[in-house]
Amino acid sequence: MDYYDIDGILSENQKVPCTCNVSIPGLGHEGREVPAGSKVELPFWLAEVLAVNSFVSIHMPIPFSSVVRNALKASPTSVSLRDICTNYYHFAENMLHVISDEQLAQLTLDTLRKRSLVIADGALNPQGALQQNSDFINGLDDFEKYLLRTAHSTHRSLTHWHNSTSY
Amino acid sequence: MALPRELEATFSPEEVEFLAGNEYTDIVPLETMDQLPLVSATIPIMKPPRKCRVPLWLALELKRQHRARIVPPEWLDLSNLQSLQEQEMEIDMFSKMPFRWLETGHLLLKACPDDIEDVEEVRRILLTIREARQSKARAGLEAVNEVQLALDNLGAMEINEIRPLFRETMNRMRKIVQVSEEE
Repeated sequence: MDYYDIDGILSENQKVPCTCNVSIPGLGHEGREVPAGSKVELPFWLAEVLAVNSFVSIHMPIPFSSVVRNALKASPTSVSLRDICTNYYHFAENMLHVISDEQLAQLTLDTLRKRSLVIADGALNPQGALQQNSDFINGLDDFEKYLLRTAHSTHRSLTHWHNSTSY
Repeated sequence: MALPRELEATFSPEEVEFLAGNEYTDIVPLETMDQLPLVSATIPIMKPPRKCRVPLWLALELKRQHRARIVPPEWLDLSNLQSLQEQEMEIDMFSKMPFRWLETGHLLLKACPDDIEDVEEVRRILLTIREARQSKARAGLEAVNEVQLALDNLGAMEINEIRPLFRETMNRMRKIVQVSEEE
């Protein structure tokens, strides 16, 4: 199921910075060869395959740089995840496959936990939440938007059922 | 079978209400009725004014046909609800409500308000209890980790309400932990 997951496929499109360990033909502009030691930005699906065979080494991409990490540690709910990466959590999962970084895993978990609280509140009244908290709502990544949508629709059907007087 | 997206994650409130119809309740029949051999149980001969124990769905149907009066369950009386409400306000955990309290209460209030004493007060108290528990459930989301989330004494409908959000969040957390432990 994960293989066909659209969000997963989209998240693999995120570019990551890599350094070529050997010279790679066909990767450069118009199919030219890329010399060893040069830095390129490759989409993750390509970088992962090349890195497994040690043709490139992957560096920490911008979404997980120390600037972003400190911002998330300080206040997870005020960072606009969408601007950093449209599918942050998926991408974190992909990166953690390749790079082993305990701190990143912990940070992602904490971010998700804190943000899902605000999302749960926002789901009860999306109109009001949008007015008050529009920066946060606009900065949600795709997974969080899905959370908001499902939480809201459950709440809506429950209220509808609760108020129904027909018998 | 392809379900609409909203139903993939959780039951609809109507489905949970339907399941609650199987609980047994007391009724007072208003006319004599023959015994009913059903699949799961045989409903005995009903003779007024003797009380009879039947499933809730049958009780509601008989009430609708004006053939019986429903006796509200013990927990749905005013003094019991008031003490439950106080308990709910005092402690941080959820107080011990019957598992299907929300949907049973809703069904009974809709179908037989004339059989319940102080029905408006009961309605108001149920609403207060529901709101208190709702805010506690939201606060309880803070403790979620990828392995478990302990929220004791939640009712069936309340679990149903929380299920999609918790499920997706926990799934995502579980994947991240799984991947980081693989190395």
